Amino acid sequence: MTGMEIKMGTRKVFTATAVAAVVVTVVLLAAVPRLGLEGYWLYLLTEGLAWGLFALSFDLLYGYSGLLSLGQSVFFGVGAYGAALGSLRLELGLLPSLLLGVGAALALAGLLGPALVRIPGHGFIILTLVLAVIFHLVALWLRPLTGGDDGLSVSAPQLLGWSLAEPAVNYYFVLGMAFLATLFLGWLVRSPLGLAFRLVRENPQRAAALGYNVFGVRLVAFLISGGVAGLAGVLYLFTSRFASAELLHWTTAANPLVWTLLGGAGTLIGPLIGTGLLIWTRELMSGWWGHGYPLLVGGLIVLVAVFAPRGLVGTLAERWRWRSSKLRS
Amino acid sequence: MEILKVKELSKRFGDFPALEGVDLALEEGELLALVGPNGAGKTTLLRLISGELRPTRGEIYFLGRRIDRLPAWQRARLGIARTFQLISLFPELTVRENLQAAVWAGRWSPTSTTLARSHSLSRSRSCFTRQRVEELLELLGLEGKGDFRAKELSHGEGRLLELGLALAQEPRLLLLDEPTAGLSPPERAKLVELIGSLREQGLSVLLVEHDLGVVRELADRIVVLHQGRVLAEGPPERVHQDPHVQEVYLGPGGRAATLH
Amino acid sequence: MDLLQQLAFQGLNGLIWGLILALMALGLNLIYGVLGIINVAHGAFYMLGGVLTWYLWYLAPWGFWWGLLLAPALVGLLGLLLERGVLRPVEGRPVMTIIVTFGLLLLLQHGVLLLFGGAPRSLPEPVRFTVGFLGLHYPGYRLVVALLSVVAMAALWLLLHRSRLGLWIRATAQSRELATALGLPVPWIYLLTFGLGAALAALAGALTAPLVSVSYRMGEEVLIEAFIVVIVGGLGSLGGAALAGMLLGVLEGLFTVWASPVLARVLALAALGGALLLRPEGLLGKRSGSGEEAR
Repeated sequence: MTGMEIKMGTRKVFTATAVAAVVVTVVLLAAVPRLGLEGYWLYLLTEGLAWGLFALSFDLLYGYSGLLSLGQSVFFGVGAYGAALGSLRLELGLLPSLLLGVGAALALAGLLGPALVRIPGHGFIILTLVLAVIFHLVALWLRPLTGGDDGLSVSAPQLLGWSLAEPAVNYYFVLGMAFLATLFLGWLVRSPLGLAFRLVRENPQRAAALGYNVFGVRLVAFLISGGVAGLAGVLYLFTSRFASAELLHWTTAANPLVWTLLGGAGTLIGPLIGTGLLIWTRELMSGWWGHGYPLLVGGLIVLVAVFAPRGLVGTLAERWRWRSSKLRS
Repeated sequence: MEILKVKELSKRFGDFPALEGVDLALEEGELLALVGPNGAGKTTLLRLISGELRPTRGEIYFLGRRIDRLPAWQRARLGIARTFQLISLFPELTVRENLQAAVWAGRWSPTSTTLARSHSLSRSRSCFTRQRVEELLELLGLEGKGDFRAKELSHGEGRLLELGLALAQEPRLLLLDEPTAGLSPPERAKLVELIGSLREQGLSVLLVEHDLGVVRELADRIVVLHQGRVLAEGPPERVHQDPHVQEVYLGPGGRAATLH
Repeated sequence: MDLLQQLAFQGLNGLIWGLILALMALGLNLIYGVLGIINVAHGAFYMLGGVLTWYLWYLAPWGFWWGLLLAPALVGLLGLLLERGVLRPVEGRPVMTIIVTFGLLLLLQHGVLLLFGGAPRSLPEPVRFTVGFLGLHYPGYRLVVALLSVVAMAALWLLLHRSRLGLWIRATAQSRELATALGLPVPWIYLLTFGLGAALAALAGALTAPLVSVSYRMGEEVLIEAFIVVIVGGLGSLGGAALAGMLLGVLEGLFTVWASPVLARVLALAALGGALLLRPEGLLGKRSGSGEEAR
């Protein structure tokens, strides 16, 4: 699934199926509001898209580049707050506040990235965790600005005359942005840069010996991941119209980790599926057994990590590959 | 023309002196073999030249340019390629993808290539890559295994791919770290033949080897390392008659039968 | 209180908290050093120690002291079961262990939530006396906590450096393959070490129970701080962990003289984070990037 320009027999078939699947999915998603989905479920789906994008940003960094960051919630939260403050304090419109949010996240990633990315292995993981803790505390401390735990509420912005207060409008906007971002990421992982990410993950020593700037490649991954996380945060803000310090907590960062793992790291579809399934399950369970959800997730994590570490999509992809290699020999 | 020059190179790990005051020079197109007992510092020297380690003291020059301060990846881009003692590939990628990665690395930076706007530019690059990869596969004799994952290869095939990665970079200097270790006689012969043909094309090679038969076949000159210092140096015949070398290899009073 | 008194008071508070952190960090480090597990559920073991101690206090007179003995033992036992049952397959792969133990954390936390409910509980200090110095009346129980922590750490040191089991543990931490080759019962060593680590965390929780509010969430903050302490002290270095723990505690304590608790924590964490940037391998770190994440 690398998608360099070289095409082999089965590879081409797979790509065609993938394209078809994507088209079908997009059509379905686009039709959702017409299918008469109730307000609450539509809202959930919209929020799910934002979280799904967040999971993708995590997967780019972890699944593809091998950097486990427990601090992506910082960029998510900064994106959300950037847009919130832009719209509240600076009275910016939709697109400018979106750009502000994403820009803030990118700037932060650019500031922290060079220092963080050069730390090897576990140090990086813990430092990102420290980052999340520190930024969460800072967000609490800057109450006048961020509203602390109580957070900030924003009013729905306008897009070309349509108000995002309308669930369907909101949905299409978020869907559109998420779709574009996903396209971008899909293109990125198939590009030479995407290959470089994976090389640096698989064997950094070898990559360096070949001439790849390991630090540079990782930094780029970190930046892009931070920016996409920021975008996800902005989309979340426009949907929920609420931002609180809780968004920067490390448990918020732990969520995409779980979703990505269950769906399958290193595949872009996996995290999306994982996010979708888990959010849907959470909503279902909150009805009849509130405590059940964390228990279920905990149990699932243990089971998946021990028995199927490649996650849902990853394990299926392995089976496919195994079967096609048997066909080959 | 001198392609590689090492001056007064020393490396200490804490208190342990792995290399002490080593001087070395390699002419372009030469194959220099680095031999010596285990622990003599051969691999350390190679790692210092490739950039994996920083020297405690001394200087390294490549094509007249001082490189001992440069990180490994920059040295690779200048034209130094290496193989690893323990086969180091990208296990989950296919053989073709491994080679692609190496071909790309030597020439273009990933970011610039990704940003390359011109469709024709990236088209010609991918054409070139495809061609080059196929050529390499043929050279290595791995045509049938192109779609196998690197981890599925046998040890011998892995060593060939290891060499292939280094060649894909189109280097001017090749650093080989025990490339024949663990190979069966026919596999070894094939690899030796391959290295021999590279020499004829004018590639400069620094070879670390235990197998003195291989050394005899390929080396223009030999440098013997012992306990971190240069013990002897020169053309094979002269080195194997050196009494110090004989002592180190065979104990006092032994004959250098193995160097024959 | 004048400045000196404040500094002494908060500094001592911080030192005691630091000792608790050190206990946690030691357990984490043992588990990582020997089994290659990054135990995100360590905070849950701490929490279980606190909750069980509260429960025993609730049930019986002298319950607290029973708790101090039984909680570590029971949690240690749980640790044995978890290691054997769930963690074997992922040992030596630190990233996977983070994920699995995170799952365990969720299970343990919410299991306790189900059984005991979410309301925070508290129990009184088992001994009430004060020690006077510098014009202060310092709560005696906290000094008892400090004493018992030090005793526990000393006992651990004795175990590791003066007993056969301790030698085996240290050997296995150095090299699993060699230990197996020498005929050491490595699976048992793994088992016991994980149980020991869990018991240490539970002891820390039990000791702290009278000082904080006991709830299913009480392990969360400690966990983060303990992790930071471990990394800053140097993964695999027990001395470093103890040192870094005490350092963080004292810094936090001192900072609270001038700043709010939240800010003090931020500053202390930032200070340690900065130390990590300067010395990525930790204060007294030995292992450098072993396992999956090569540089």
